[in-house]
Amino acid sequence: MIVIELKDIEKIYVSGKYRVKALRGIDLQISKGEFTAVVGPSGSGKTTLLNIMGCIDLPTRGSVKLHGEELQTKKSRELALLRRHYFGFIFQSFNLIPVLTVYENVELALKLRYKNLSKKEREKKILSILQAVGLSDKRDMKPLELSGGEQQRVSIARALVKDPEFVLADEPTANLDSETGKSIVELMRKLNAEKGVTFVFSTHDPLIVEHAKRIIKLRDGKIVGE
Amino acid sequence: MWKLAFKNLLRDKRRTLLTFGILTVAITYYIVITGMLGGFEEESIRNFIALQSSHMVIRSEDFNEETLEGYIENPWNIENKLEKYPFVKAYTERLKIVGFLDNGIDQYPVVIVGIDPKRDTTIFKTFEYAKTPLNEGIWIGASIKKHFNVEKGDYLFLNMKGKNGVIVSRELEIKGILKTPDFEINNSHVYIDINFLRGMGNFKGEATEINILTDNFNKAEIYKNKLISAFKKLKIGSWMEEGADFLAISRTKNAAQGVLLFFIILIGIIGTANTLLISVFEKTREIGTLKAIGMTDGEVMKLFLSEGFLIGVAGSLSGVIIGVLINWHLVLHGIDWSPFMKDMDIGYKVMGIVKNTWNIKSIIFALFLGPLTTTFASYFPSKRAMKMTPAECLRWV
Repeated sequence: MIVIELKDIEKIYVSGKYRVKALRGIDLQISKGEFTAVVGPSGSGKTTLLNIMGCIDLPTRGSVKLHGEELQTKKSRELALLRRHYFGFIFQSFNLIPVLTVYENVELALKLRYKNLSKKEREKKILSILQAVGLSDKRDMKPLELSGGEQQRVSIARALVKDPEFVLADEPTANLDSETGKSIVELMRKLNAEKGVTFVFSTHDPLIVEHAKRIIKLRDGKIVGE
Repeated sequence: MWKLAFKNLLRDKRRTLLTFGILTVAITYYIVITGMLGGFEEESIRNFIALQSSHMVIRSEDFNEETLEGYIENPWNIENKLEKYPFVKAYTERLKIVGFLDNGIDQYPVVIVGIDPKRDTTIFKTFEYAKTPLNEGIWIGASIKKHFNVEKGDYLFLNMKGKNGVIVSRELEIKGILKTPDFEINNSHVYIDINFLRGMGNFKGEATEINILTDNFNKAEIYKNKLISAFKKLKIGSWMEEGADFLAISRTKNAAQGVLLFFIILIGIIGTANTLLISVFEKTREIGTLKAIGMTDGEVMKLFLSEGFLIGVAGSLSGVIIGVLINWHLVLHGIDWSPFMKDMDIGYKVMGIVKNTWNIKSIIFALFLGPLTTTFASYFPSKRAMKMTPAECLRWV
């Protein structure tokens, strides 16, 4: 079942006099339950593609559909609500809120998604996801007290706690050593298999790519192979 | 949301403390200055009533404020009628004449005030400053003393036009020097026994005014209206009307302080806006993350407004607490302004120690002032955070 559909996507960044074409006519379909890697060198448009898929950015031209619904015409608030309900994001530099503890970082995403959840229900859900990522004992620590791998696990927990349909991970292992990176991808793979969450992640790490079921190759803003 | 806003404030403690400090100082200043101005005004009114106007003044219908001419022929008739009014606690008559003092070389224009020494003290506190009874002498204002370089016990010539238009002059002993909080008295007033003055100027029983002390000076306007119907051919004025000019000056000064307060608030706004703007710049990537996980622009704005609001609440509370404590001390003990004022007329009728007053309205206003100011100030940085797309925020370096 196709859940995200991109047609003839073009993205141009304008900075003063300069215009940079980040994506040039991308056609792509993502189906439910996929575990897809977007690979390509730096500057090939991986992040831009993931941002457009996750309603973080809109294309300059072309059509993006989520469950058949056109996103181009959506207002900022509608896009925020779509991100809240459908997507979990994992970032290369983790992007955790430094003043919040591990528990509070996860809780923030959960509170946004499920406004009416009781404190007890929230706690149960957060502890379960922290256990799944192996961080039960670190719940009261601040992000800066954790290793890179642990921070990325928090980021995964934050993405998954709200039961997203899709998790978009932008180079999730880039700031980690290869061993930790591998464990993170294995964790994502496991969650994909167990929970049926669709994963799309960008990387240029060949060790990670081998775990992907589908590989999309990008170069200079174009898909050059699958 | 509130938890995150609170924790964000604690992130850069120095910056938050600076904004909080600015607000605290501004609000403390506001409370103390309002209390101080209130004290100056209250003390001025008290002194004006106790030295010049009393609660109410009755004058002849044809009284001329410039020349002080226009006399009440039989003041005791009016005084007898006043006895019927329960709110009238005391009364006295005064005869005021324009004249001049001279020492044989130099002349000095003065207002000669004839007083009934016994009754006058029941209403006015002039004697407290003169300290020595008048007898057949005069009390002169401190500036007059300075002008003639005279002391108590010295003599000056008092000159004036008598009732029949003849200039009369008498050499009189200075019995007291009046250094009062009222610069008008210090600069131009000479006090003398009313009967002595009447004899000197061939005035029979005349008086220029009858001064009344009531049971409540705040009700002077109500009492005045009661007397107007009974004394139809006389002018009756309350202390508010008598002091209209100085009260207007006092209010103008308060308005000027309001302008100063406006600038303090402006500094508070700029300080808070600046702090939060830096905070928005620093947290741009975090804002991107918050937006990516599904926070709407409105919620991001609310987060920053909450930060501003929290600084405001904290600043207001501490400002009000410190302000109230300082004001409390000043209400009890006041400040001795003598070293600052010396002989300078600042427009208020005050001297020496002036105690602050409580201005509950300003304290309540101050409680709201902080949060209102900072929430308003945080609107602009919040709007900037709101306007940026999540992708722009996440790309921010």
